[in-house]
Amino acid sequence: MIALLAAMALAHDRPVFHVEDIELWDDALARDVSFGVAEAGGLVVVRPHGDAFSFGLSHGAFDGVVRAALDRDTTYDFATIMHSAEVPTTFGGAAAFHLAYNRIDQFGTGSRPAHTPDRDLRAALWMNHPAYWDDWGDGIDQARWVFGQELGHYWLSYVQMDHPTLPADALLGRGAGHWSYFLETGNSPMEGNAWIDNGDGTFTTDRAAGPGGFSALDLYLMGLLPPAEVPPLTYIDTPDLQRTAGAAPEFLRGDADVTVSGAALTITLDQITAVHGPLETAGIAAAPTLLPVLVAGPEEVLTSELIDAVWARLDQWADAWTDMTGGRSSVSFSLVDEGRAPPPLEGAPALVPVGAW
Amino acid sequence: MSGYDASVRAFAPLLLVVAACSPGLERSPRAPGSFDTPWEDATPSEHTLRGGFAVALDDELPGAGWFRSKGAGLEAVDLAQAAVTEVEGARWPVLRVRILGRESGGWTTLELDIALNHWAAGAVPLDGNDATGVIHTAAGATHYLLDGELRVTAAGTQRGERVQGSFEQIVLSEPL
Repeated sequence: MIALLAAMALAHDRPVFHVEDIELWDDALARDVSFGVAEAGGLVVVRPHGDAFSFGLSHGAFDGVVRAALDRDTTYDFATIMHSAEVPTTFGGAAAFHLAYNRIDQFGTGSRPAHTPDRDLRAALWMNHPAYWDDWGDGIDQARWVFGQELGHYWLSYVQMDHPTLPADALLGRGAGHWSYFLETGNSPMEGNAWIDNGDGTFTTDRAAGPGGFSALDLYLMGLLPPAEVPPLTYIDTPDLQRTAGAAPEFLRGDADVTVSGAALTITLDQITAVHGPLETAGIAAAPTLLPVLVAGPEEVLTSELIDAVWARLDQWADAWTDMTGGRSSVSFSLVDEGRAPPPLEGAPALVPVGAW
Repeated sequence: MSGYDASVRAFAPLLLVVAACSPGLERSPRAPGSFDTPWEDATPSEHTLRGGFAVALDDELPGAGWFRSKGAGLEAVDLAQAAVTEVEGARWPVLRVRILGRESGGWTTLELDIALNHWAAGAVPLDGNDATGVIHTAAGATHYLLDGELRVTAAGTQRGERVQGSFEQIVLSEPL
């Protein structure tokens, strides 16, 4: 998986999204690394001691960061991890990714049992470093959209359907974890596209509509919308072999809009629940809690500018999540005070060297 | 005129010359006192210590620091603090670097105390004269640093300036 996505990145010279549940390569070295943990500016700061990232971002290094940061009394639903620019991580050119731990509320194909039944964490998001997003895609709107996708992966997109003509997995696109390129989604963070019906048997993507919020189907699958409010979906059934269901949304890459010939088919929610049954519980979608984590270099001196830059992104993403869910959900990045502040360096020195007398 | 007064007056010109040759360093005008030297009574162990730190002086944000012993089971990897502290009765302030590790029972700390007049980039002997150090574990044990060298790579002295260094093969005392 890593090799494939890296090859795609090299071939297209563009950032590539990692799918959920990526298989980071195992790194026995990183498993032996120790991680220092401190709090600063409302963030959990994790520093690797040793060559944790000598092979890029391995599973051992990533999991080490997560374990160190989450060694707390308070339970958080997710962890959002950013790193400083000094941390030399590489992972196939991807912008960000979602690593599942316990996909309890997933609804859809291929049940993902708890990876870590001894831990409460639902998933961890790796969100690169703050300045990375300054020049990414078309700027601020698309960085917000990426956060929506990475957090959205806890619920989306994994459903199949019982349709009279389309294959059961036709809704699914890239990596079977995003919507098909040909599904009308209003440019949802979970991909698919906004399509314009040209009225002549052709359909054109609508880049001008910009990055969209979660679709009605998205919101239903997250437990944020009742089934009665999910309208029928439109799917472009096309023989055009130049576009595959797994293609990444091209509108993010500044390409021109794409026009395909085909037929617009209707998909109903009933055809989805016929396979998976109805969604039975709202889960945590209304108010998920995310532990804010910053990975710093082993000899890096923190600055208030870095802390502020991290919070600027977190605030941006919190606002984006509320917008993209139509106000039905809000995330919290608040770090619960557990009295972990170190004793201040005050008073007299522990010892006075003779040379100071 | 007492004998003490005469000796102070004789040394006064020398003290002023020393101050003039050490720009940027603060010197207490107080008369030199004496302080406890508990490391001198400590028994060397077979265990050694290594570690490092990088921190901004007097910064509210936690710096980076770690230490680990070979044998003795001592370790801290979480954060570091640093400050320059005036000491009543001492001629020179002390530059303090404290490395901390959080444990269930509290904090394990290593404090390195360096006489500011001996604080500079390069090798600083951890000999009790230029610098000294002590570990206090969360469990209540104390270990002194008895011998070795602190390698200083950033020797800030003003608030916000970087102090950075490392140490290896530092001889530890038996626990007290």
